[in-house]
Amino acid sequence: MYSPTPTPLPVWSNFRFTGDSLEYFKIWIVNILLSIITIGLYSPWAKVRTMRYFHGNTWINDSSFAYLADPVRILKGRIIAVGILAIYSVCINIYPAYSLWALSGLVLLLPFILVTSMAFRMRNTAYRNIRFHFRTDYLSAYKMFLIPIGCVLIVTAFIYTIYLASDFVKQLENADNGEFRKEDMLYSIFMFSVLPVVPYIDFLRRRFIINQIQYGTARGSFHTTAWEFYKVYLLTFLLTIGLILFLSILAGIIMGVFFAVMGVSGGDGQPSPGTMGVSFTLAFLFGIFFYVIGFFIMGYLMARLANLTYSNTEFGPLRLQSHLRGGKIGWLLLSNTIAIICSLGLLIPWSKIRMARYVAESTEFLQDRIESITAMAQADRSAIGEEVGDMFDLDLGL
Amino acid sequence: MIIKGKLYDGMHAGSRDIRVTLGADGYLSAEPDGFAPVSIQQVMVSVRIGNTPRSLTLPSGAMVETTENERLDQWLAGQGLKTSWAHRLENNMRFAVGALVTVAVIFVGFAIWGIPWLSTRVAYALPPEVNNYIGQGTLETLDKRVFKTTTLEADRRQRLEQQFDKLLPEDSEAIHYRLEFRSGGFIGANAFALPDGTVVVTDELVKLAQNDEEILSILLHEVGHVVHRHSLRQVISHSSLLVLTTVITGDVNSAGSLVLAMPNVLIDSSYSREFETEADTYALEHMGEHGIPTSRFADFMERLERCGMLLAKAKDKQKGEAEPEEIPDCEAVEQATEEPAYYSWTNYISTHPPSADRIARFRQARK
Repeated sequence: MYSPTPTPLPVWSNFRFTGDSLEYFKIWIVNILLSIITIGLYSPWAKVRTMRYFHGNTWINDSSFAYLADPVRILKGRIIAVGILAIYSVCINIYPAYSLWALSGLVLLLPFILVTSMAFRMRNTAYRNIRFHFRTDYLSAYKMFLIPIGCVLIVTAFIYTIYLASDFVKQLENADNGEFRKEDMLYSIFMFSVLPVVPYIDFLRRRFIINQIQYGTARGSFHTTAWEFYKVYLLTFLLTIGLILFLSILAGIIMGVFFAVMGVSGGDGQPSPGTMGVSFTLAFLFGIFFYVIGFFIMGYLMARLANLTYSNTEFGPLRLQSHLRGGKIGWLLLSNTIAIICSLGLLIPWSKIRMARYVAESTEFLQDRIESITAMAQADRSAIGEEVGDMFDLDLGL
Repeated sequence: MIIKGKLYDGMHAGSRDIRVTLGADGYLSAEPDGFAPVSIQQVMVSVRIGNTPRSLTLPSGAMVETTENERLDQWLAGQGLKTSWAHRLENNMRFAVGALVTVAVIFVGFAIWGIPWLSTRVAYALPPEVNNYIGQGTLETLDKRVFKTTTLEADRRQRLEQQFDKLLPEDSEAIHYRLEFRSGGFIGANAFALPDGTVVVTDELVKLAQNDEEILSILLHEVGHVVHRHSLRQVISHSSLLVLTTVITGDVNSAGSLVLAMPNVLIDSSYSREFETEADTYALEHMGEHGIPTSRFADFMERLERCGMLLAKAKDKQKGEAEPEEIPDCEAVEQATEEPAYYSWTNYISTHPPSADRIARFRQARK
């Protein structure tokens, strides 16, 4: 059917995003209005229209993505999910003492939700009239999460037992005027032992997701190591510590210089109103500064993780390459937040469009022999519960 | 009419550029290298959203993707197939502005009237067991985290309990009121009501009062909270706002969630102020019945506020000293400075409306 042509050289081409803020604003506000008027019954249609808008405006070469989910199925899923959430929220309010148990119950559901929501999303995403697919494997999903978490719990229990056996506890209990609680220590030990595992769990999660995705018959594969994830997280951690140290020292110097010049005391041993005012202003300014820097640290982490993930992802002959910049993402997050707050939410559509545009334009795609990819023979029928998982919308974004 | 598009056969990911002929007879075709004529009745045309490309899925499973929305819609209209109503709304700037105004009005209206109405109705409709569960759970948590056992003498407590029993509404609607004493820990002089009718008073509050009538006036205020189901109403408004925002927005994104949290905080603080005023009204209305002058409440609130100021000063002084002493209690500060003082006013005051207004209200009430 096809005449033999000389094999073209592999060409990298950028993702392209063609959404328009005003156009999306109109879709967005109509969606909200109809969702309110119908007491939320329209919201699945709103979701489908939004997803189709973003998928349809995302292009590689001259083909766009498609979102094919059926709103009626999403509606059914949402009714169930809202029921679960309502029960959960009522329970937490009635038994605040058991909220930790309720939370761990939800945590146990996470792998299930992750798998089902990915399955639903992938099944309903298509490119070039070929659907994506997510091979559901609940057992692996649970193993992936429970083994590291189990290790963390064992380590926590171990350290806590040693800690209880030591006379350190008694010292603390005697020294302290009754404010000290053993449970607080347990919490700290848990946090301390879970933090080193976070990069590993993130690595496992992303590798699992990529490996289970198929584009037609082309299986996803993930080619990086946990060590690369540790490097990213470690760098982010050091960056954060460094920035905090730097800012604290800077604040100290400014305060010191100021007090040396102005004098601290207002005569009768009380701080003068002027110095109080200045220290409050400084504290406030540095508070804001930390908050702002938080966006850039967040942006850095997001960008590095996305680059690491996409640049090491292959679907058979297809490859991705992503070169997001942390500073740019941080700036987008910060300016979007300011814009949304100042516009009382009116700029939400604008902020979504510009983020989507930046992410698309920073991602490349190697379209080598795409013709060789064929559709998977699959029954167009999904397992019960997939759309329930979709409600929780665990985002990896593709 | 001819539109350009790409043909994907649905079997593999390759594509072919084609020109689709849209016939006046309702048939479309792309010959010779595309597909044979097929009736529009058998083709699934994707609904239009903005200016995103459309797909025409043929009975064979092959799909044509085209960006020529205007010409396609024009032809479809000629075949009696109009564009969807949703797209016509989304494509209309005037409707968008109207929708915006309507949404703003609905949201503000719902926050001001809808949620209080809803939470009140639900709060009164729920069986008393729910109140008991919430009350016991909360007290357990607070006992673990905040309170210690009371240090008040038993007969002092008994006297207050007896007086408290006389304050209770005659028609208590299956609510079992009881008075509990606790040492307040870091929350200091405070009193609050749990939905099951338990009223907790801290030792510090009892000690701060100069007479029992002051304590009773505060207790009446707390009984007012129970009578009006305030805790339950707050829980319900919380949950309903949460569910509402989740359902409307579908997916709440990072930047968006901050904004969505803001009305929650604002509404919350305005509700709690409203609740305090309601409980004050209850206390005002019932103080006369029990022969308590309304000025007692005002006296106590004033003392609570003044003491806080003094404590702040005392704390500052301590910082200068080499070995910080234990934080002085009210009497110590009172004796040292010859002014009444007490600590931990902050919590009581910050969860309550501007106290000057409230005090004035009790001062101006008929004696």
